[in-house]
Parts: sequence; structure tokens; C-alpha cells
Amino acid sequence: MAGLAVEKIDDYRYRIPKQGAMRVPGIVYADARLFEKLRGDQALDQVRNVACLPGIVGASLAMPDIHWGYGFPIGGVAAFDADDGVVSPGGVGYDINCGVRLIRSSLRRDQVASQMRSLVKALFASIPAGVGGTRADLRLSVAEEKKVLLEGAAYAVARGYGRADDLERIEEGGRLAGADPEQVSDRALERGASQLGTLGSGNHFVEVGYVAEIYDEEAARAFDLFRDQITVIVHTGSRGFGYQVCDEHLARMVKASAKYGITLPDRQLCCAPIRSPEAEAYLGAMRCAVNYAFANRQVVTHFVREAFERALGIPPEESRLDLVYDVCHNIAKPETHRVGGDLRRLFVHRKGATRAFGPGHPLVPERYRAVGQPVLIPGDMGRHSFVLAGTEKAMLETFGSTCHGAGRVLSRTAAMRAARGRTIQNELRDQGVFVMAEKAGTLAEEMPEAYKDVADVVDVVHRAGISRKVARLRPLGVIKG
Amino acid sequence: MREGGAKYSYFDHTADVGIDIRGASDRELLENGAAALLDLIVDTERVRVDGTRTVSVRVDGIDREDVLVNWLREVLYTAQAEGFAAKSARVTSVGPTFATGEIVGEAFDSARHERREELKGVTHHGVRIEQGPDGLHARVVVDV
Repeated sequence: MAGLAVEKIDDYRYRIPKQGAMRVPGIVYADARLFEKLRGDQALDQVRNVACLPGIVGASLAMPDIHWGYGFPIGGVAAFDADDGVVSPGGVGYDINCGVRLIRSSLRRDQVASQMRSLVKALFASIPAGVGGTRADLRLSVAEEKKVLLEGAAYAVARGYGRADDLERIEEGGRLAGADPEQVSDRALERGASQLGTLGSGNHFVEVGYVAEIYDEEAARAFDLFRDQITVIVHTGSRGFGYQVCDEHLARMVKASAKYGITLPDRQLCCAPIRSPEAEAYLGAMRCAVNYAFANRQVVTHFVREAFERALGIPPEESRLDLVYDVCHNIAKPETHRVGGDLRRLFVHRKGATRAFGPGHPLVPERYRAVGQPVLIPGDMGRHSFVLAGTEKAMLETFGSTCHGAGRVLSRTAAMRAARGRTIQNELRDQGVFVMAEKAGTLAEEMPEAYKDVADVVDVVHRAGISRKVARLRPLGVIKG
Repeated sequence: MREGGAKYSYFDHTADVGIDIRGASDRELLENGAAALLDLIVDTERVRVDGTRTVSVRVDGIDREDVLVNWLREVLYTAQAEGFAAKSARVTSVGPTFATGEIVGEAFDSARHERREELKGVTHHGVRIEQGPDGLHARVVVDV
């Protein structure tokens, strides 16, 4: 970090002024306390590095959950000119369209709390988690898998995994146009064949919780949320399919960057001009992975509904379990934004950041349009998660983007060290959270103290005005990989 | 996860795992890097070499660093493939823009083998090969 000049803009924003090869400044959303912890962190260097890429517009942005990634920081947002800019697979990441969906029920906490153990066990039994977990009944032929890649969540709904009205409540309607299965390798198809409807490992989870606090009554009403209501969060992505797509296209982009004479401050930022064959090939494959992830979360949602029925004996028409919304964390796509008074077609990369479109935006589902897009910010498994709404200010300052989660404070090994001699499952049980994991080590790596308190992160985006708090959720039961 | 003695060690990276790889030559660097990676994926000590399955590998790259990353990417893909438990990787030839070799292992047997981590990818982040007083040294970040 030595030598990187940084200046404070206001209580919630810091600027990295243009220096060296930067084409635009960097802007980091953080309060003094979060920013103090960032000083000396390579994440700020990464914000600067992204600002050096060709065609970047406005600023290289970082949300308050920023942490050291590889290439782009986690929590980074970068928009590129749709004609003169670049596309970078590293600006999306390996877990393409990793994302979160929130499901609301008509059930109250006191109806479910005593049966949490059997509910979590039912979820754990039906949703494969961990390394190599699959559902034998969901193995896809190549022809079927290609349909998943083209149709996204609609593929799942058409086969009975969900309801038609789920699709209206997913970013992009659960399907990104322009997916091109011809750009997907046999290896990616092979990895994807057996992983639909699975969680995977690491920070992915399904969490049953309840609405503990409401901050904005009007938005909560629009989102159909009420105090003590049982909710479910699903957090997973495109699994091995997406990792393989990213991996292969990164390797090609390393070569493409050299071919197009693009100077890279870090090779993981490898990229190609938006209109190049390399970029088009990546985008065609990336959109396939985006659609795979939408279908994956849709199938998992179906398993959640089945588990509720089985464990609680409450029929779906009574428990409801409607989708509130589904947001993407790792994605790049064309969007129109106002820049310096003009509407411009941009390519927005969000890596560990969430779209947060404000009230009135035509891409916000009609039922939410008056209050803004629902934004779901999961926290760690012991404390809380938040529901926010997008704002007009986000449209003006951050290309309609906000934070995506808590962000780690402990590395995985540091967390394992801190957990030595403790039983995280019991500690969480004492806090009223029943947790099941495929692997005990996951609970140690993912324990609450390994993460920032997501409330601190959410307070920054709320006070900075790039989204606003609607509700706080508390966990009751969690399954992990 | 065990430490690889003089051949490799792991370093902390907030969300991921970093590998410090050492070796007297490019060949050793590639083989030791593969050993470090395999040890994250499976308990290699419990993989037998009799009844061996061998997968041949050929990678290219724009320079030595790119060859190292592409070699490790190939090792990662092969070692995480369904039904395979990898033990080690051997380099048969290596140059500034290519490497060939083979990955040795056996059929995956859930009774004996333990899958450790699901690794998302070997990144190109900050990768460089340096010549030190006691041999070559490389740092690679793996997305977990």
C-alpha cells in the first residue's frame, strides 16, 4: 500500500485520486472504522488496478464489504463503455452468478421454532451440499443441460421445480439473453451435468430465519414482509460449471490481452475489447453460467418448499413460501446509466456486489417499483442478514449497485485456528441457531467471527444513500456444505 | 492440510489459499506446485499407486508463469474430475512456453479417499517466478 494516495470525500466515501496508470479515480464506500482496517490491505491496490483498464467509465468502485480478491477486489463494481471498453472474466469471478434469493412464508416464528431441528434435517436430506454432493435423480444429458443454459430458471419451472410467478421476481427474469452453448467446453458441460440443485461448499448455504426488525414499513409491505415472519435465504451459484467457464476463458484472455496490447497491472485482470471474438466467446459462455445458476437456485427453492411440507406437515398453499427476489453477486451485463447528464450504454461488472436499482426503474418488478428493487444482504450464520431497497442515489453514484455481504475478516486458516478446541455447532445452538454441515471444518471456517458484522456494512450503504434498510432477519437454522 | 517441507507451504489470503512453491528447476516447481494443490483436494497419502490410472497432460503458455498456472489448472481439473483420486503429478518435459507430464492416481473410493476442498480455480493473480539464492520460488493464489 505504500505510496497510494487516498483522500476522504465525506463520512462514507474515500477517493483514490488518479495516479500512475489510472484512467479514472477509485471510490471506496466505507466509514472511518471500516476504512482504517482497509489501510495496508491489498484490496485498495486492486481498486487502483481496475481503474487502469481500458474504457472504464466514472470510477473504479468498491463497496464497504470490499476485501482482497485476485485481480478485482471482492466488493468491486466497474462499468466499461459498451463500444470502447473491455470485458474481463476476472471482474465476474469463478462462481458466475453466485447470488442470493429470499423466500417469504405466511408462517410465524412461534409456529416453526419448536420444529427447527426436523426442518433443518429435512433440508439437509434433500439439498446436496459439500464437495461432490449430487442428486442422482437430476443428472442431465448434454441436450438437457444445453436447455438449462439457454432457459435459466424457466427450465426448472417448466419441469415442476417452482411456480410461474417465481420468474417475475428474479433479476433479469431468471434468464440472460445471448447465452451461447457453442462457447461452452465439454469439460464445463461434464461438470455441470450432475450439479443442478446443489449448494456446494464454502460460504454457500440455505438459512431459515425470521424477520426480527422492520426499518421501512412501506417497503416491507411492498415486499410482503412482517415481524416474526419465517423466511428462507438460498445462497449458491453456477457450481463447477461456472468455475470451468471462468477458468478456461481467463486462460484465453491472458493471451488475448497480449494480442490486443493491453497492459495489465495484474494478469488476473486479463480482458479483451468488448467487440472482440474473445470477449464475445466469453460473454456467450458466461451467460450460460448465469442461466445455470438461476436454474440451480430455482431447483433448490423447490427442494426447500418440499422440505417445509415434509417436516412441518403444512401444505404449500398454506405456508406460501413465495419468492421475494433473487439477486446476482458476480455478473457482467449491459445496462444503461446516466453519466454526467447523458444516458450511456455500459457494461457493468459486479464482483461481490449487488444490483440495487431505484424506484421507478423499468427493470424493477412492477409490484416493487414504487419502493425500489429488493436487495438481499446475507450476513454470517450467527448474527443477522438484511433486506434493503435500491435508491435513486445508487443510480447516480454506483451504476445502481450496493454491497453483497459481510466480507471476511479472518482467513480460512485463521478461522480454523480460532475454532480449535471449540464446537461451533454447539455455540450456535446456544445462540438459538441449529446448524448442519457436510463437513465440520466448514463450520469453523465459516463461523460468525470470521466475518465482519454485516450490520456495519449495511449501515454504510444506508447512510451513504446507495440503498436503504428495510428489514433485519435473524437465523434459526442453517445448512452448509 | 499438511505442510510440504522445503517444497511448498501455504500462506493466508483472506478468502482464498496462497501457495508458496519452491524448486531447483522449472520441472521441480511444477511438480511441487502440483503436490501442494493435490494436498488441498484429497488426502494423497491414502491414494495408492498400484492399480494406477495415468492422465497425460500438455499445456502451453505465453511465458513461464503462464505455463505454471496452466499446468496447475490442468492438475486441478483432472484431480477434481468425478471418479478419480490423484496421488501426484510428474513433468516429462518443460520449456518457456509449454509443459507435458502425467497425473497419477487411482479410481476414487469413498471408503478410503477423502475429498477435502472444492477448489474453484488457480488464479493468475500476481503470479511470478523468481530466482532466489536457494532456487526458484513462485507464489500462486487458489480460489477456494
